[in-house]
Parts: sequence; C-alpha cells; structure tokens
Amino acid sequence: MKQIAVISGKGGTGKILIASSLAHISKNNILADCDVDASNLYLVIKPITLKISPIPFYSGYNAKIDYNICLLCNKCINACKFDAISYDNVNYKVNINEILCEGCGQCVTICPNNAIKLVEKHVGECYVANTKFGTLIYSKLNAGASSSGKLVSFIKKHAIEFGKAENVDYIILDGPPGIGCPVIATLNSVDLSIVVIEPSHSSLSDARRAINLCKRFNILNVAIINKYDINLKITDQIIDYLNNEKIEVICQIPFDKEVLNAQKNSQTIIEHNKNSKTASILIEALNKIKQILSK
Amino acid sequence: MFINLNNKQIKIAIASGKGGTGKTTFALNLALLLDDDVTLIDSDVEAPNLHLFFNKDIVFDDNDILAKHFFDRFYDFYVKIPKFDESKCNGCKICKSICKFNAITLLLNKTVFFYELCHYCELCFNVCPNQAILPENKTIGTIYEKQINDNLKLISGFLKVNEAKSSPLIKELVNNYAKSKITIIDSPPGTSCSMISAVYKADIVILVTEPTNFGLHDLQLAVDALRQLNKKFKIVINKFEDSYSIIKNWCDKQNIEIIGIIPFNIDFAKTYSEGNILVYKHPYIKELFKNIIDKILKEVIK
Repeated sequence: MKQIAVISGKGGTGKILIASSLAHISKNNILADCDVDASNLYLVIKPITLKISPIPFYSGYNAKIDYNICLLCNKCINACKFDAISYDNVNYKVNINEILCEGCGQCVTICPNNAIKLVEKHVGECYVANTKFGTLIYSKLNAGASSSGKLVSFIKKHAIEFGKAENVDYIILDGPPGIGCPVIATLNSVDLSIVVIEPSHSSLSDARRAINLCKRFNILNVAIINKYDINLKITDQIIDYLNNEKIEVICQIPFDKEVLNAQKNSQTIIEHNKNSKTASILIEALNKIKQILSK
Repeated sequence: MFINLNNKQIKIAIASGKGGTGKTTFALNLALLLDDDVTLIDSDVEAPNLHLFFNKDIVFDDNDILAKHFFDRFYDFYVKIPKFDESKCNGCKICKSICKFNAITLLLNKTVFFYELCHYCELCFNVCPNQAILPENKTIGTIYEKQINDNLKLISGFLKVNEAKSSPLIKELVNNYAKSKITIIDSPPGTSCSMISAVYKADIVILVTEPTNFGLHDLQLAVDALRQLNKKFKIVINKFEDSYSIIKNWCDKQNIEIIGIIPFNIDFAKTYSEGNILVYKHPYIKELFKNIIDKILKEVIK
C-alpha cells in the first residue's frame, strides 16, 4: 500500500484536479481529503453512501464562564495571551471567543472565584464515504479551528485502517496549501509527493518551500506543471529548477476550460471529457507514477 | 490619492477561504493605488509572495542571504518554549498536568517535551516547585521590511520551513507592524487558525472569491468564521466570466454586499505570472479598483 500526496505550496494550482484524476485512474485506492480548512474534494468525488456514521473529532479545550459566579473582575481578560477574552458592553458580560480561545487554562487558574472551566472542543467531523472511485475520507472542520494538523493525522489514520481492510494499492492524499502543520501531517510516511506548479513567480517560490519541506522528510518528489502555456518563459524557469533538483516533470498541462466545466458538473476531468487535452495528458502521466512507485 | 480618515488608522484584511482566488493580486494593487501612507503586510507566512512583485529574482535560501539584499531590515521572530533542568526535576508531574496540549510528559522520571504540540502558552514556566523549567527562545521565522516608495512600506513574514505553526508569527505582524494610516493585510488561504490570526484585528475584511462551486463552498466557511469574530466584511468576485450568480444568489440570501467584480482575462493571468502589476499594465482595471476602494473607505468611516 503506497501513499501519494498532492501538494503545491501555493493555493489554486490544481491539486484537486490531480488527486481526483489519480483516484479515477487507479482502480484500487482510498482517497483522503487532507485540505481540512477548505475541504472541496467531495464536490468532485461525490459521496454515494456513508460507510459508517460521521466520527466527531475533538481536540483541545475551550474555556467557558459560569455567569452566575463571574465577579467581572477582568483578571481573565488581562491574563489571556491569545486575545480571546473581552468585555462585551452590549450584553454586559465577559465574553470568551471560542475561535480565539486555545484552551490553555490560564484563565481557569487566574479566576479568583473558579468561574471558568475547560470543556472539550468539538472541532469537526470525519466522514468515510463510498464513491464511484473508491472510499473517500473527508471532513468538515468548524470555522476557525486550530487543530488542522491533528485532524489530518486523524483522517490519515482512518485512511490507513480502511486501506488495509480493503487491501488497496494506493492511498491518495489531497494536500492543503502552505507548508505548515496540516501539510506536515499530510506528508508523514508518504512514499511519493506530486508537486503541482503553475507558471508564475509566486507558484515557483511556494513550490520551492514545499519541496524543501519534502526533502527534510526524504520524500520522493515528482512535479506537474499546470496551465503551463500561460507563461512559457516561466515554465522554462520552473523546468530548469526542477532539473537541478533532479525532480521529474511527469507532465505539463495547458490551460484548459474543460477543467472548470468538469468541476461545475461535479465530475473528474476524465468523467467529463476523457478526450480532452487534460484528461489524455493526465491518464498517461499518472500511469507513469504507478510505474515509479512499483519500482 | 489622499484619503481623509480623520486621524483614524485602519486595517483592511484580504482573505478568501479558497486558495488561488486572487488575494495577493488584490492586496497589492489596492495598496499601490491608495498611494497614501500604507503598510502592506504579507501574513501568508508559509508561502509569502508579495515581495516577488517588487523584485523577481529574489530567492530565500536557508541562509536568507539574497533576502537581506532586497529588504531594508529584518528581525528574527522567536517564541518561548520550556527548557527542562533534569537535575532539579523530582518527577512530580505538575508540568504534565498543567499542559493542556499534552506537550509535556514524563518517561522513567525524565521530562519529555513534544515541541510540535506546544502552543507557546507559557503556563509551564511558573508551575515547577523546583524551578526546573525555564523559558528558552526559539526562532520560528523572520520579519522583513522594505520601504517601497515614499508612501508604501512592505512587511513580509517568513515562517521557517519545517515549523508547523504560523499563528504566533502572523499575530506578531498584525499586532506590531501595522503602524500606518492604512494597513493592508494579505491573509493566508483557508479558514482555520492562520487566517483567523491574520484577520482578527482588522477593521474590515475583503473576501476575494471566484464564481465556482469550490469558491462558494469555501466562501461560506470564511463568512461563518468572520461572523463568529464579529468582523465587517465585503465580497469581491474575481475571475468572472459568464455568470457570477452562484455567488450572488447566496450573498443576496445572506444579505452580504458584493463590492466589486473583476473579469477573468488570460492577459491578467499572464501579467500576474510575470510578477507585474495589474493596474499599471491594464489601466481600465484601475477604475474598477478605485470604485472598490471608495466602497471600502465609506464602510470603515461609518
């Protein structure tokens, strides 16, 4: 069972395009949406039924005030390092903002009247669904949640469990943008990372950081250049950089309106139009990946 | 463009939910057109891009050598983490129980610290009865400053590669580097703690979206977050082609104002890809942006 992560550094380069196409082509896989902050994969790889009930995900704590015994002394407001506590002068009470509260417990300790306690924070839900292209594991994270890395690890754990039970060949991980904790959690134990780059200085700069991160984990990287014909000069610069880093460019996809049309119809590009430029390029490229992984 | 804010200082955050909708493009062009005392903060510290529009050759290697040539000054940013003096530890486990993030544990009477789980709340520094825990500085990133012209200053935050948490660096930027009349904060994508850290001190948030189902889906998450923070916000639709009804229908139901619509144009994509400035290369976009600026200022002055 091999793990393939699709990352980019920069947002909007086409990770979902690649991850959904990979799931379409490989017959025996688990697909996991690790972009928990903005989980979109299920809009393209549609869940048909749920395999199990949604699994609630709890992480950390939120501080809650008992307004019957709050002394309005403001000690907690001054003590909070995360700017989460303020005086609400509309409702005349001390307010702890659930999004900003990190559940450290400082206010609990400092309150002279024990009016504050910590409650477990419900951060989101994890779903395991049957889809046309294999089991999909995705999540809905509550807005502002601060445990995205942990949720990604939670999703991966379930992906691996289901993967073993279903005896799949691949776990395909649609990664988040950036290089922070949810990306690091996505890359943990990955066999191959596909870095999706678009021809802009921004995307190249961000891809360099993402590749730098992968190197620290000794992960094998390959690259896909998406919308390459928007700027051939920069595409060349990207290819030069990748050659220097000995990273194989497995394909270059031109800007293709069919990609957006497929997305609008909630289909993979191959479902929508398997004769489109993008679909044919991807089918060939992603089969190359299977060969790389089987070595 | 001199703007009269009656000596008020304002912070405008540019966010989105979905990545790649055009936040950076929007923030950059807004800042340049304002042509007044403006600080532009790149708070997308995991993947900062604003500096590339002022110097395309810039590359940040691990030694940050090239970076230092372009920027005027830089500051390392550090957080405080616990350092354990084993000789003073008596295995009482008070530190383990105080840490709500499970970052401290004891194994065979030795403290084990999981740095990746630490949220830098600093509670453990004062709880050890034997004073075995002391604060230690850990550099997690660097803040770079550059005076672009008489009016515009650029502040770029760079999180070190392999650092997991961006929030402390982002909060430092928005709390301590927004000194101008107008500060524009280019936020990270997503709707979790990094985006929240970038927008939570803003006077108004402009959500840049695209008229697609992904765009709408993530916009809804972003709006949910901003409502929980009680933030004023407006919508700008980017990459508009034949219809933006997917966004407009939802915004109308929610009573959310759309203040600008930027058309999709392959030439805009090319301009952006080269690191050039939209409003300089495509003058008719200038009018569109000026219109949007008027609406933003009217809203913050209210």
